Amino acid sequence: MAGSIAERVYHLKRSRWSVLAGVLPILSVYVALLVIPMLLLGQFSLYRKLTGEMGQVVLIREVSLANYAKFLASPFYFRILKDTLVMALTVTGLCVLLGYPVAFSLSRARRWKGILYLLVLAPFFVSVVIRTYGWMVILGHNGLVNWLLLASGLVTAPVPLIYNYTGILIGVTHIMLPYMVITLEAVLRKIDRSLIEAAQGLGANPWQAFSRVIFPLSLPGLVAGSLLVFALSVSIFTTPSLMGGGRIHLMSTIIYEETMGQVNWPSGAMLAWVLLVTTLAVLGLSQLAARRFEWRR
Amino acid sequence: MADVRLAEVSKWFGGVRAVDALSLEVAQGEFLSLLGPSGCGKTTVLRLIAGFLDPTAGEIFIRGRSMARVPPFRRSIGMVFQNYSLFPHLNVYDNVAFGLRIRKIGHRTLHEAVTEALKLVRLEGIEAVERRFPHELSGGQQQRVALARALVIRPEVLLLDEPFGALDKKLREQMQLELKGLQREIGITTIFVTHDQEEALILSDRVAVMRAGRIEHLGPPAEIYERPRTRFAADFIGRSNSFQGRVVRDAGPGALLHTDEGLAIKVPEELPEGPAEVLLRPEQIAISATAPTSGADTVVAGTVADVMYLGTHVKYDVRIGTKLVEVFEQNVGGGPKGRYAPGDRVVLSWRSADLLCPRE
Repeated sequence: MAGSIAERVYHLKRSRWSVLAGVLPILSVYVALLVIPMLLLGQFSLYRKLTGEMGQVVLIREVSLANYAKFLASPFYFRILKDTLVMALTVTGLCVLLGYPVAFSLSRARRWKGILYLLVLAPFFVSVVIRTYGWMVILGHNGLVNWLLLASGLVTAPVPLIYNYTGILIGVTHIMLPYMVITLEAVLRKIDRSLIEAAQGLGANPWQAFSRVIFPLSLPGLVAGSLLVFALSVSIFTTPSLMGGGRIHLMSTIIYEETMGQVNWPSGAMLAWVLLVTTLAVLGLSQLAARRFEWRR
Repeated sequence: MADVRLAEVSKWFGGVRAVDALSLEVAQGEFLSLLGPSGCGKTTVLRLIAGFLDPTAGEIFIRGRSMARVPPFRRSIGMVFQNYSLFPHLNVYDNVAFGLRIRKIGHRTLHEAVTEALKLVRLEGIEAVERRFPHELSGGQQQRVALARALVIRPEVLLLDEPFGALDKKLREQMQLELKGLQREIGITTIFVTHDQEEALILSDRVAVMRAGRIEHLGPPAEIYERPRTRFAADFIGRSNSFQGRVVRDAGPGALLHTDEGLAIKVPEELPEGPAEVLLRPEQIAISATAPTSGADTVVAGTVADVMYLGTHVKYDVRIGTKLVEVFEQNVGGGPKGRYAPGDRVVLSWRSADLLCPRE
């Protein structure tokens, strides 16, 4: 006969249904708020928008690939997609270069660990908009950086650091850095310190111990952090739209412009899907590449 | 000539003296164990020799060369860690080859050296063992790889930090024997850290019993066990019965110890009068029903309080007055086992020469 409730729960836990039960809440949120809207967007991307004689927007509910054909035929769109990918890759690279030393020191820190961790996370406590305005103050024409450059005599005229590509890179890298640091640190922290001693005992100097032991062992964290930063950077909107000053177009800003400015939902939806597919393709390819570095525990 | 020499070496952690003005000489090819309870500083000594720690005071010499300000990677040491510390991202071959690659050894020589090292630790027979990763190996195999990795660079000194702690008893005993054989074969100076007294006795040419950052007794295993210099060394290694009291010299020959429990037992003559403590190993005591065994000069009567069957021997707790004495009787073949039951009247006898009289 059936056992106690505890027993039945135990058996339930062992079954594969329990896995489903565990992910069901988050899965339903994903389906309701992400999958269904994205599918609806996909549907929209196959329609067309017409502007009526009186300026009214008319949605032609005819399935066609016209929007995608427009994308493929447009060097303008291609350049924006390319700029977006290059921006996201550059940001990822900058985050690796700037984040690795921070994550490494953080993973070795003892006494100040809590405070250092808080400092790394501090940017999250301030809204993206506020942070971006902060950068505008620092990087602007009459900002701190230019004042210092002019005062030191390094330049004779203010350097444009904002409302251009450079400004976007600085702003987005700043926002993405904590993600890289946290992901990397989690992996670096788990690397057994005695491995460094083992390497040194075998004759490896500190640099060799790092390059032959620590670095290879941190690769999973580097890959995970890079994927995270790349995926977030590719679709980031607030910072590029503010720091770019409307002069630099990225996929996110152009999607906003098509959808809200031009009220061309089908075109905006098409661009959103192009971005989604491209991002997934890049992530998939890098996963394949990452597998070559992988070792099984 | 000493291969490794520690001269008045101290290591302080904050206010704690982990190693306290310790001097030690290890001869070429010697197998020396640092034995002691956790926190006695034995691992710190090893880490000082390896160079992972700098001494607060004193100096360390390897082959006569001062190791002051010599980083670990410039010392010629082979270290085996408690948890093996194999590189998880490298397979067996690359783990063993690590030190050789750092030394930029040519491909052919490297291959020969790695193969030889794997053979030395008896890993060559296992199917495709070079290609396996540490997590795919058993504890004993990981141990062998760690040993091969340390030996392949032909270090001047081999340092082992409780290398067998994680292995089960059978495997531990096998690895101990193999290590001893291997060490003899290549004649490498070896310093071995352990808290397992049996392991230290089996493996070592000399044992250093450590307590609170100092060496209590340094000597060959038999001396450590049979003539421990200090009470601590006697207590830490093996089991012993303690008799505390006052030594009194009577008119007759010899001296008597009047114990706190009211016993009077014969003790060696060299013991000075006054308060004293002597120890007696449980296996030095003979237990019998009536007549004492010949050769014994001390005979006392008691009652069996407890019997414990331990396979190789039987342990009796015998009550003499208010004193409980532990006695081991070898489980020799033939006779009935567990002859005495709790409550039985028995006679204990021993030779007073077998009493241990540690100086401090």
